[in-house]
Amino acid sequence: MTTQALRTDAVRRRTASTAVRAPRSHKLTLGILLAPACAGLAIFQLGPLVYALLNSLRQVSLLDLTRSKYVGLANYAELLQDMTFWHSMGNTLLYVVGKLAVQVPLAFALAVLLDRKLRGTALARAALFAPLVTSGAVIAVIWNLMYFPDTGLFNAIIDWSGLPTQPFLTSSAQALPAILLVGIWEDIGFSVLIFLAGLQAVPASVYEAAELDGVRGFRLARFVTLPLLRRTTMVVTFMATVFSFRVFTPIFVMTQGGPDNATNNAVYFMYQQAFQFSNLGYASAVGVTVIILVAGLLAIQARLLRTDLEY
Amino acid sequence: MHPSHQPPSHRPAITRRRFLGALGALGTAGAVGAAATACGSAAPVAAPIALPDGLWPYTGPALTKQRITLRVLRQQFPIKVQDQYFTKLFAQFTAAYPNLRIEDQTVPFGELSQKAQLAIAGGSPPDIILTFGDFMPEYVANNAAVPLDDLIARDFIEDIVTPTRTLHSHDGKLYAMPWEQQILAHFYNADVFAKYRVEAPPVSDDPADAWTWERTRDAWRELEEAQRGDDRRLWSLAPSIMGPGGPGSSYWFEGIFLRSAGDKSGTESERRTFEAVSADGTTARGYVDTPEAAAGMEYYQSLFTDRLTPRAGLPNAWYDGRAASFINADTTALRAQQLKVKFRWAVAPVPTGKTQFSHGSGAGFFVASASKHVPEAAALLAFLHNDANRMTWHSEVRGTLPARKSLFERLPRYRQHPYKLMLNTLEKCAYPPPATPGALSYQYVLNSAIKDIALGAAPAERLTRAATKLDTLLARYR
Repeated sequence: MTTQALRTDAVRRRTASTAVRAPRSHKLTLGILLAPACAGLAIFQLGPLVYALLNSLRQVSLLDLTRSKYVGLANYAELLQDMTFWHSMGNTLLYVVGKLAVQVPLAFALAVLLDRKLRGTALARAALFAPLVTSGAVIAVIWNLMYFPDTGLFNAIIDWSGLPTQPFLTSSAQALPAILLVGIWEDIGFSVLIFLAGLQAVPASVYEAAELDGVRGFRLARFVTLPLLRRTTMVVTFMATVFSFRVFTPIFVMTQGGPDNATNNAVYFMYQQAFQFSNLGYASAVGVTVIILVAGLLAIQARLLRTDLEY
Repeated sequence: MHPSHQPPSHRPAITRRRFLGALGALGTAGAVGAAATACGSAAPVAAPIALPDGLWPYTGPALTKQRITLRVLRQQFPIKVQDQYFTKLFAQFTAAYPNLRIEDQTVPFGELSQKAQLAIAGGSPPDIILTFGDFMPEYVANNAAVPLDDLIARDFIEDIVTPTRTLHSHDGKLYAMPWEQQILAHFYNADVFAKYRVEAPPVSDDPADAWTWERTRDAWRELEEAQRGDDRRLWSLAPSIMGPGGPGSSYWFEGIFLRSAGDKSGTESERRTFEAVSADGTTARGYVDTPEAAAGMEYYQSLFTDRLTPRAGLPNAWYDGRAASFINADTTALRAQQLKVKFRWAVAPVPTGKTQFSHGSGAGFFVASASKHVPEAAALLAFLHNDANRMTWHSEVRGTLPARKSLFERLPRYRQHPYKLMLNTLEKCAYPPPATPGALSYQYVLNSAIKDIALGAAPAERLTRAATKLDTLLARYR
């Protein structure tokens, strides 16, 4: 048996010997206190999930919910062959990967900078967190205006600098990166906030010890801060992944999934099926499939980022 | 000292007895209120004021005397006076029927269909819903609307112009009250054409005098060419302002490039292009992806690649003098007068493809089948649609074409240009949009394809994909 396993075993035995069985009245109180939360979860989380699962086995029209037909796994079979769905899943994954690749390191770097007591830090923090308290629709409308092909701010700047103007949202190649930029700008403040909280929880003694050992700058971040923030990084990655999967507002406002499905993602595809094509059963099948895929992805991330390190 | 012996100022503000008393009183008041609402007529109502035209064309049962609320979902109109018109008419109606209350919900036009869909799916839709006529077949196919034949006078129904009556009816029954009728015309800035010495399209009341699309494009290209070097960039053609605006926002407008490339008396392929969907409304392949349809879309794409029209929506571009031409609904004429545009403007017939073509449809109100107050809802619609109220709307408020033939005879302006041209367009070359039970899906898919094509997608290939997608969606209605 390894040292770690022996230690775990000893802790378990000690816990078992000292554990006090809770009185029945305490369990009842606990049950009563938890019941409203459990009921809320069942009604508002589990209920819709089960409803979606059942709907995914039926052909249902949004306009006439009474006229539905059981079709078994036909919606899933159709989904597997639906190239637009797989294209939208591909876009989703590109968006997720792009966002993680840019947002997480950038948020970490910004958090390290903002953690220091430099001049202008308060202003920088306010600027970073401003998008968090701004409506997503307003953000999308403003960015849309800035991206306008002929009259937008970005093209005005590009034109003024003598470079050829860019189509941005009207180009299949540029639309997804353009939307990604909006997403990063919108969410990065939240990631920075979590990293800052993590940084401020690291005991000062760890840094003092590292400094005594002569570790500074990039090496300090690489070998001390980053390993200690592994759990924080996991939370940031999880949140960024989930937020990326459910991105909807900028796509709805700015591109409606176009041009030529270049920005159509899983959630917008689901929305289209339900609310544009009145195809509620098929949309439910998309929803269930996306949930399974996201859960799988998060499980992989959890495995890759797991750590026993504590301070 | 006993609390009751304390001076009033020292007594506790809320005692247990007072609290329980207040609770009891609240409960009793609530119960009385609920009973009054349930009984309907317990509370006194104001004395009714007679409506000038009564309830014509309403022919249904007597209206309830209970207190009820009628919920109306409609578009928010772009000009304040248009919304105020509704407020005024609702006030008149509730003055005549003081037991009725009207809850007026408005949303931008581009969001109207979706709002209506969600309200219907939620199971408690508004009693009255405004929709664009194009979508009526889908609401009827999904049992979302009530037939109005037993509630509205026969002569009123027979008075409705053909394209709209066709669209709003199913199996010979009328399902929506036609609020207005719309056709397209070519509005242009005569000053701009004169300034750049480009021949302007013909000002005529006869749609047959229309230029072809190609000739119109040549003029737009000349305009584009002539103003090179000018500081002020002016688009030859304003983008669509319908729906959310910009390319791909409105099949009602942009679908004409597809359908006018067809010919109802031509070859099989040309005929199908014109029809745009199979007779049962469930097949799009072979209708929207024909070589003629692709040619129509190639033309439309060229307007963007030649930089004759912008790739994004520009609100008010024509009215503000930032675009020379504007192919838009008949309402443009009155709006230009209301906005007092600062240039001379003229109206030409909508350009022609193989077929002289305009979609002819318009908004209409229907009574939701889930409504618990169908007679009252139909009576309100009848009041909104009576002759006096309609004449005000068409001549002073909005400027759209009436949807009833008799009103044209009573509005003298339809004997003069440009309104005569609009009436002639309606009579000679306006066709209803494709009638399909999957109307919403049909337009969403095609709008998306049209937008992609405008932004550079290959027309034939993109239309083929759209047709395939449509057939999958429409298969549910076979």
